[in-house]
Amino acid sequence: MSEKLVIKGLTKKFSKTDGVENINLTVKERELLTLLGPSGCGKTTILRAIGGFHKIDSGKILLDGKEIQNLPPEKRPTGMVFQSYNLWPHMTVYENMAFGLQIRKHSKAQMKEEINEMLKLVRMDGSEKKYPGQLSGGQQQRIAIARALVLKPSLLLLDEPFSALDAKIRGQMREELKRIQREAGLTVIFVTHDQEEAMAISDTIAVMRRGYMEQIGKPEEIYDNPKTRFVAEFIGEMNFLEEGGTSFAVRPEDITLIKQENGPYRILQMMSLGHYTQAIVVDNKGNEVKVFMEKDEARLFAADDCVACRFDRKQVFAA
Amino acid sequence: MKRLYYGLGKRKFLEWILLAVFLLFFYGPLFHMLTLSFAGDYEYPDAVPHTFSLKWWDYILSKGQMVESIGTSLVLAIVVTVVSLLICLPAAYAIARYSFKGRGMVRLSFLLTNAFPKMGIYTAMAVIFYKLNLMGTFVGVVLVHIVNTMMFMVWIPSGAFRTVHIQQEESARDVGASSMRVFFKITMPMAWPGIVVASLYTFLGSMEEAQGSLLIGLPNVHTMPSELYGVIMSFPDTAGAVFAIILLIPSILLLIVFRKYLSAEALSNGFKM
Ligand SMILES: Nc1ncnc2c1ncn2[C@@H]1O[C@H](COP(=O)(O)OP(=O)(O)OP(=O)(O)O)[C@@H](O)[C@H]1O
Ligand SMILES: [Mg+2]
Repeated sequence: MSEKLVIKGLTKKFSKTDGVENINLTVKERELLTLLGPSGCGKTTILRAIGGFHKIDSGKILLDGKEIQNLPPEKRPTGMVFQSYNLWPHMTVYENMAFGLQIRKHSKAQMKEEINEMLKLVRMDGSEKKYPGQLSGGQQQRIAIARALVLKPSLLLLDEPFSALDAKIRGQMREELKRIQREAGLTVIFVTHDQEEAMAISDTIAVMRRGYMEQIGKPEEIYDNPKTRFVAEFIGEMNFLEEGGTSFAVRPEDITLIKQENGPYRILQMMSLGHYTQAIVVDNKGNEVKVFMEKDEARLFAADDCVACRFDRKQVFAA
Repeated sequence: MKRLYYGLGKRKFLEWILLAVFLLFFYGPLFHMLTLSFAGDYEYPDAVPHTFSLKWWDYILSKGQMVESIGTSLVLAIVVTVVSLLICLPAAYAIARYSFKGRGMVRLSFLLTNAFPKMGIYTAMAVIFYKLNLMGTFVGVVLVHIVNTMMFMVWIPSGAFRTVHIQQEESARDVGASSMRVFFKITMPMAWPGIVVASLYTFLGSMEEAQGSLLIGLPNVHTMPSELYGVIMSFPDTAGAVFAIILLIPSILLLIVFRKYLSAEALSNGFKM
């Protein structure tokens, strides 16, 4: 796979503490890369710098091998979708979609065909004559994505496009996006602060913290081998424990409970979460440990049982 | 009357009376003026003329200076509206979009032009206009009118611009539109109701402005309202009525054509600080 986007030493500071510093990032062709991190860590800043909405302080942005950091947004072959207010309410869906094509001087017939095709791809065919105000939030975001895609952008930039939608629709949109990306062979940078969403759709995740990249890798890599405590805490569930003076971390699913009279832990609570069960156990000092287990296994335990824990996979982080 | 009272019910009946009084109060003078303008024989305290004719219309329309003032007023109102759009829209946009030091002051200063006694401002302008040789000129009158309507022209469109989200402009840039194109195809159309309302105010305000036009415009520039002063002073009521109705026509036409924009919403957007 060839390199689509290369960012070298990108710095954009709003003040001494706010902004991003010395960002290096490579996105491969047909890859969906997610920028993941807590609020205010600089995800939007990077995305807007790529789209041309922030003038950067220093660094280079290469798209398809060409430097784009000095071009205005309208000259960049990127397509951006914001969290909300993407569509122009005084234009119909068709006019919204046609706006960019008209600037590119496509013929009427060609335009119609391209728009139809895109609306089908996002499953919104038949809505051409509607105004944005007549669509639901999820439908509006589909149109916004279709409007960006109809211009065949070299790189699609999505800034928390589903975060204004409710949980169920968000899940559906996520799957749709993955399908569209696969079918159209798109290269996408997706911004979210929702680690579950990131795990679900990404080929690569870049975990950010306070303006820099903490770890970049495949979702399972980041989940199984978080490089820092911050990443371990941010992605998935993690127990931080201490045993004989050394501290270590264990994922809840990497712990096996063993029934044991006067064992060091006591079960505080058993909670079924659908396809698996979560147990919270507590030691005599009051430290709580979270444990995931299969439903069948869970039948063997009940609250107030005394147990021992076997840690199948420990991880140690530098302080 | 009794039948009406019981037929409608007490509440409804009172509402009708209220409406009737309101209509009389509102449209009574207008209607009176209309009948007067078509009067033939009329004596002062009477409500209705004895005979009707077009003689006062003929009279007014045969006075060259008065007919001329109709043209002057229309041209003036158009020029004032266009020029103040050109000046105020960019200012309104800047105030809506960019936060700069003293933005609050700038907004307030527009309010101040309307807080001062009008005559004071006009006199101060007259002093400057003498030096600049703008007294008695068309340009001078245009300037006076613009000072008058500046507040509406900045505040209302500025409020309308603020209802356009920055993302809506940015996505237009993103799909390839230059910043000019974004302004004319996205921002302006979305702010259109506010711009229309402000232009209407400016146009109508210019049509009926008299004090400033009198002070700055005379003796060379005669607008309809400044002529109206003269007509009222030196001709019978009936001539004044004709002239007042002529002055009313463009306003009514405009209000009918643009009535769908005249919502309370467009106005209230303009006054959110
Ligand atoms: N236009 C701006 N002017 C000044 N400071 C800004 C600007 N945009 C962002 N910042 C600051 O830069 C930092 C990074 O902001 P950014 O919007 O990139 O965060 P984010 O990761 O997208 O957060 P969120 O998940 O909340 O959207 C924040 O501290 C923010 O306050
Ligand atoms: Mg953000």
